[in-house]
Amino acid sequence: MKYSLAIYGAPYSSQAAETAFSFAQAAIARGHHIYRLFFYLDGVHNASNLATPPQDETDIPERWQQLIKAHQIDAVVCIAAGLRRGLLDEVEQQRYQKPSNNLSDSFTLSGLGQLIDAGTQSHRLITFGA
Amino acid sequence: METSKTILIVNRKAPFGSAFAKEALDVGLIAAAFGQKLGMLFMDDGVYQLLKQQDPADINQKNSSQTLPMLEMYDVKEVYVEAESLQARNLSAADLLIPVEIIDSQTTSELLEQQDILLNF
Repeated sequence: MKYSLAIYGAPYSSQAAETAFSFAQAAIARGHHIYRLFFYLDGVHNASNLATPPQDETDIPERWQQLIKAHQIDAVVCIAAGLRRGLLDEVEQQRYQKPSNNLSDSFTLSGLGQLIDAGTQSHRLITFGA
Repeated sequence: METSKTILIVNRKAPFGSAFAKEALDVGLIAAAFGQKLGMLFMDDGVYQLLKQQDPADINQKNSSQTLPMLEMYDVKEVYVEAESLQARNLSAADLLIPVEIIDSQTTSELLEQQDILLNF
């Protein structure tokens, strides 16, 4: 089965990120394919490479990066939702003359069309954190 | 690309207090621009998103309800409101900014059942 996941919850604020991660991991373990992870609303914070949780807590953004890299998953952050919440890659940093960027290199910034495409191209699109 | 799937955006949250209403409407407009067969359903506190005369200037928010008429321009004809949600809040069609189809909870269940893709906000 081809799945896509839409993630709307920020790590450490909402359980959505953790649940979505567990779902993705379980789906892959069962031999399913993750067509796309789409991060929207506060979910964009999952893609930050600056999150620094205490050592006795799970590093959720780091776990996403590992999963995405290990299985070459397409992980998209909505560019409009990301920019207004301070999630920038190098291109956007330069475009808006900001002092730094923080989008993990496992993720790409793109538009909402990628969420619609994920819906049309997958057997199931599952929302976490609505 | 398969484009024949039906999409229903389910709006269940109040217009202000979180970004859900605003960002759900953005998804609706993009889906419509992509030529998808799109419906919008408003239920629970989501019915407040449709109220006339919203003025959130005092809380430093944009009035996203002004964007609602864009749905019609984008050819989104299916805008549904769950009757029970309206009644529970003492609202009626006359309080709403755009023309909608008011459906009971049984019909709402059927509508949800019919969709290929549900996007919950």
